[in-house]
Amino acid sequence: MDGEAVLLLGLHSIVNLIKTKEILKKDMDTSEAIHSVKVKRTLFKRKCVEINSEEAIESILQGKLIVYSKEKNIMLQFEPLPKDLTRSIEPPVNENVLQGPLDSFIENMSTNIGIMRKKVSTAQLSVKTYTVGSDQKKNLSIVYLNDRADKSMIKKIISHIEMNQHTNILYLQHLYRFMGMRKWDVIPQFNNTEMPLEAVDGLNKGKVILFVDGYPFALILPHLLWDMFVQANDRNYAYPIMGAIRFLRVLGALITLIFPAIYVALVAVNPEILKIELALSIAQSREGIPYPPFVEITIMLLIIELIIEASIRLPLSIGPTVTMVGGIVIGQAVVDAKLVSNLLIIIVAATSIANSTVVGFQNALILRLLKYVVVIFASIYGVLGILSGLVFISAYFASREIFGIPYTSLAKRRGEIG
Amino acid sequence: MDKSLQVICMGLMSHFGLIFFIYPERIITSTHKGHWEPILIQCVIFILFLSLYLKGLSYFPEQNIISILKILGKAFSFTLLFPVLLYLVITTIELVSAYAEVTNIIFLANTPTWAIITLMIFISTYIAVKGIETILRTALLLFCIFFPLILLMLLICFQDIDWHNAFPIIDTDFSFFRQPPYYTSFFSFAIVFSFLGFLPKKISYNSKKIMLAVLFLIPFFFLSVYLPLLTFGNETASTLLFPFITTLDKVQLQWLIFDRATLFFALSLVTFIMLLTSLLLWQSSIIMNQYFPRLKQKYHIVALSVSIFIICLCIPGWQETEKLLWWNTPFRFYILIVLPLIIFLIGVRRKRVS
Repeated sequence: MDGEAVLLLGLHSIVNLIKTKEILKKDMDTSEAIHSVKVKRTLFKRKCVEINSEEAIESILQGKLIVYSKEKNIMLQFEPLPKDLTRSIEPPVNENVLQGPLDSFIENMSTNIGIMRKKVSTAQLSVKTYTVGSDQKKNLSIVYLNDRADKSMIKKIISHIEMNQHTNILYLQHLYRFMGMRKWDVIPQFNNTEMPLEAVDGLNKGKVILFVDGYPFALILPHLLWDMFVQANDRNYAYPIMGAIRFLRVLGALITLIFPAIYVALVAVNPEILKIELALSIAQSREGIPYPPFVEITIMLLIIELIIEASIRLPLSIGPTVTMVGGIVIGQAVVDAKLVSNLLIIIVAATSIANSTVVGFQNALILRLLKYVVVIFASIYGVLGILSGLVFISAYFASREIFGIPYTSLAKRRGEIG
Repeated sequence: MDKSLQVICMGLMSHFGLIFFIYPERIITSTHKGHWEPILIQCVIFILFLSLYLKGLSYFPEQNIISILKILGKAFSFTLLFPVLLYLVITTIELVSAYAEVTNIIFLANTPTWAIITLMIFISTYIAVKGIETILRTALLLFCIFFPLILLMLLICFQDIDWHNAFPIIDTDFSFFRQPPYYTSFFSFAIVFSFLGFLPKKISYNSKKIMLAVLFLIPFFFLSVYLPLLTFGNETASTLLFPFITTLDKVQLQWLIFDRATLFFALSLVTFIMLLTSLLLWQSSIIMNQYFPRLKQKYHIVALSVSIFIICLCIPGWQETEKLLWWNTPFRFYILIVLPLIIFLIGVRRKRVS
């Protein structure tokens, strides 16, 4: 530089060194011999800032390049070309959408915010970015529409972020705690989605979107019960069809909660309410099974959970094997060996199918866990147990409040929430 | 925020829970002709005093019953609230033991009563501890889940009726006024809407909507008595312990996979009662808070429910529960008639002064 030797400091792993050098050289050729530091800041036609050594470490870690001149003993921070370490925008992997937009969020936060900006082109869109963490810094952004979002909720969110600025966020669990959720709550404050469509829908309903750098999901705040049954893309269909689809999801949720329990209740506690033919055929199918229905259903539900868990874990090429083995074991062998009844297989299958009808895997997980509560109640009290289980779950849902907004509320803005 | 819908759901569900079990038997045994007369008289009294109560409360838009009564002085408000507390607690005991008993008699013959009592008290305490907003929201959720089922069941009941059983229609001697069961049947009217006076100011409601909901409710009082009556006739119906449940049991439908669908109907009513119990617990805890302000409301609820649980265990059977129902009558009229009157009069006086 001006005939003077300079040192380039930076991390080779995140800086595209070759291309950056090329740019540097190109810029230098056109520059004349200039001596003052002030002009040097615009030397590379890029923003350069003079910094001290402590800041230098920080900025190197953030992927900046430092130009160090030994003679003058100054350091200039320089924005290099980054190495391409993120994937491109692809169709969603965890959620499926039919006849709707197919883009999804990625790990890079600024790309995600860019997607949002492109989809919601209004001056009302606010983006606030914070850096949080004690030793491992991470960026966190909240995005909302100024004219729609509830002011007091935003204030609460921001105060939570500022209060906990020095806590590391490595996983979402940390973020839940960060946002003031109790450790044993089943329902998180956020509904996470991979699809920009959903996030935009949330924004328009006055919700707040949270992006965490490195996490390819939008966290929609607050998370409401109704999110379990609606998808923004539903609105691309005719109104009656939308209603029917949503009704189906509600039915699915109820079946998930009730079906296993009703088997236990009807077989073990209240067999008299069934029609006599049906009661006899159930009794026949249970002939020779050596343990009570509660144990029977627990075993089967556990096997299903294991299959689900295993198929997530296994490589794609081995996954079908597990499905096949599981299918054979569950479909035929268990019944033939007189370990469980035929009817139970149907119940378990119906339950796991119904469980998948609700929107969002995290919501399906909530139901998957809560169905055991109903099963336990049912095994003691029969049908009364099922109904009281539902009361208990309803009360649990009703008691949950997220930043002052009840989990069971339907509406968009706080003023409208009932 | 207008929470009329939640309040209405709560009121309707609690009334449904109260109407279909004990009420029909009381009315059918208290008279043998012209059953609509006693029901109508009750409904008129109910609507009259409920509107008085609402009117009285509307004079104090930001206050609940406790702060209203405080206007009269601390000693007065303590004495006026004591019967309310007593009635709330006794009613909770009645409800829990009566419904546990009923469930035991009709559906769960093998389950001991104490187990059912435990379940009912556990769930209602859980809901009550979470506070009034949770209670109301739960009411709305349960209303959405169970109410269609209940309406369907009511419709099914119409298939066996014979309109001739309604005769004789006119009863001129009003003999039911001399029957104790008639006074206990006010049980189904008195308690529910008293909670309107206890709501904190952030839960507002529209009085007109509530009166409309009450008008919607009135036909069900008639249905609960007339469906068994029209199905069985007066002579048979008066021998039944739970006429309405028996009527439902009699219904046979080809397309239903259940032989005894009554179970779902009756047990969802029991869950409504659980919700009502939690509401009563919450109301009593608010009054208790006046007497012992140092203890947190949560602990009041837990203490109340533990003592109610113990008392319920000491009640040996159906006969004793019925006695309790009869003893409770003066308090019932206090809640139904005296309390709305007091609130109304304080309101009127205050309006005049200002």
